[in-house]
Amino acid sequence: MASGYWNKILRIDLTDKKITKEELDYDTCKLFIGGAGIGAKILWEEVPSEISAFDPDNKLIFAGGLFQGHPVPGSAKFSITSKSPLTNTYADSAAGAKWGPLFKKAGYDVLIVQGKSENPVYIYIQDDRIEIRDARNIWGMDSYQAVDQIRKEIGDPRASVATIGQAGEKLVKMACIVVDKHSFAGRCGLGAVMGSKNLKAVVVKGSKKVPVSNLSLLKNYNRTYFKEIYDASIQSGLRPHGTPVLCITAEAFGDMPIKYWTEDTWPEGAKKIGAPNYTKVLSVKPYPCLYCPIGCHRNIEIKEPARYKLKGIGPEYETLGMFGTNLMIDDVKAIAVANDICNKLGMDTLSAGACVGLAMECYEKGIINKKDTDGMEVRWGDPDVLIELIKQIGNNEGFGSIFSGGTLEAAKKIGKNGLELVAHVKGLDLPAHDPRACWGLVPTYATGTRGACHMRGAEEDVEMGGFYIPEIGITEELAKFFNPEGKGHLAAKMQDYCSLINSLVLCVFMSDGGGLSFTSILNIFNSITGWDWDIEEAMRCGERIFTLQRLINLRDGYTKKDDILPPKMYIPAKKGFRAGKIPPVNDLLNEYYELREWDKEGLPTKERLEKLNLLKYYENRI
Amino acid sequence: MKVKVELRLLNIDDKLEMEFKENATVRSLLEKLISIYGENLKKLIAHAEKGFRVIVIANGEIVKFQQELKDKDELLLLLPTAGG
Repeated sequence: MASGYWNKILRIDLTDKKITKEELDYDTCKLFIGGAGIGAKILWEEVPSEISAFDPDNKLIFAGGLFQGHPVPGSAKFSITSKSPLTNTYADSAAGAKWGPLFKKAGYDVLIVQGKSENPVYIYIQDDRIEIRDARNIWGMDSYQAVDQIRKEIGDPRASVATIGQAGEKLVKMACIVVDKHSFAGRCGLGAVMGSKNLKAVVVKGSKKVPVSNLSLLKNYNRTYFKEIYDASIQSGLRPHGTPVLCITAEAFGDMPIKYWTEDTWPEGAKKIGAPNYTKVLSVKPYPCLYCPIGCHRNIEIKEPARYKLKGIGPEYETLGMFGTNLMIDDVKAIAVANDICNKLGMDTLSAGACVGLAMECYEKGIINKKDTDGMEVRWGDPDVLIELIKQIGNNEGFGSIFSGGTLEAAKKIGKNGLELVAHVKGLDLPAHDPRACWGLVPTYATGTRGACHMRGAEEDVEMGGFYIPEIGITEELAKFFNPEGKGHLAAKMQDYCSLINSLVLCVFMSDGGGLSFTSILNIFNSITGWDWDIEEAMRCGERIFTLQRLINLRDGYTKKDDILPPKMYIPAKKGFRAGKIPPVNDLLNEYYELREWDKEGLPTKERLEKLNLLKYYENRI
Repeated sequence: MKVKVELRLLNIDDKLEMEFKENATVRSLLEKLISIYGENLKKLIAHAEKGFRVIVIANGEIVKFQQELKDKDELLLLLPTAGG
């Protein structure tokens, strides 16, 4: 058995209720590590292009990585990989809380769920005890009620529950997976894949000790780095203010979405919804995941007005962007309430915000009117419209049901020029970072293997001065705004780095905001595995994982013509920091392709695949 | 010379006009601001070992700390972002 692994895959078929244990081979561990890496390998092998997201033969791959099972700072994360109903190709989504460590401690590296149960069920894993339990009494509950009910049923308030809400049950294609009422695998609609399998939840509680190469060294690193990250997160503002600390700077750089990507500046709005106002108005306390020194999640409390009374998880920067400035809403309490509704329904707040933005833009432009909206005036800046619409979308009812398949499907149904308004890549809505401001995001979004995603690159934090990785040449020199030079390099390196991080599995905020160096991450890695990897080896692994995800995209029918940005991203700002600036998309992509050794059609070359130990995938790459 | 300065630094949210002698730099500006706003600003923008941790935009362009100030410069101070 390799240190850091159990070398064990747990496979559960919901159709025939069959539970099997398989070996996770050593070569797979060394080539793909865990998390999103091993998820990609299994998806490649087991989910061919003809299998759609809601086909029972689609797989849900829950995977921890090397870092789970020990008190490594930022190791609460785990990864879920599947075919996405939004993008119809590879998707991975990560969440925290404590599911990842408790699953790993149960004695497994990977859980594959396949098939479809006749009736609603949940899976319960407690070390060697594995049960498929009846969930008919829980089906219909929101995600928070489901967590409470399941913990009550199994008699263990400390078990970790990854569940779906009503949105997942009703196959809303932006449904997310909710963990312990605390953290969310938000993007790409993997909650709807759970719903399609009649799977309400996966509950874990492990108690085993994961084998490690050098335990005393690992303990020493954990202690040292925990303190370093804590101190750095105070300085970066992540500990005291969470991700809302970004709002004011992001808006000033033209990075924040304003009026569904059609306006350029709104400093007053960003100030009202972001920190420090957020921290004060919402009575914030940090709410850390297991083993986290930062605690970026927020516990909030709203006492008045009565209709907004709330105690629970507060919105992140991304939600503030997509529910706030994106919709011209500056009432942070209303945004917090909308966020809470989304969390309970189990729905990605980013894509939900994009849906409401598209609705408001279509209404303003007369593409839809009150006859279409059941009488609702879908006006910019109205928090009541936001709250009502997300309820309708999440419950797949009323006017909102037009968005249950996401913005692209909605735009096709709406017709006229609705499609041109949708800000997406490969079907995934842009997150709250504007590639017209941070040009490193252009290749990252365009080639994103799960669509437009900043968490598979994080270039915005490099360009806005808060995140460098000197070991791989990510320094201040690359952080020059509106200079295309080196941005392809920046994007490729950051994608590879994030692919590695998402396979370890480590929360990227340990380095981005917590200041944990790449060298320190490798110190932890080597103390667990004993493999003595250097930066080059680790980055090659990250590139291998990213490239395999790309190969899945290609096999699923995506081509170079899909490596593009939506039409709005070619319209320059009229005012503000990025006034008159437009990224040279083709130049950036050409540099990026060249660095990646992809051919003119965006296909990885045979030579490159050989260097990455992926040659056996060459013949089947399209 | 006179410059206009806007600070959007969390709790320190302010606008002011400042006077400097010839050859003053952005660094001089930051040091003077710390003398005005004290420990609260120092904690936000100055790191004991790594130096200043702040973005300075002069007339719409990001500038380095050694850049000399010019009369009528309009400066905006922002915190770098991390944890996006």
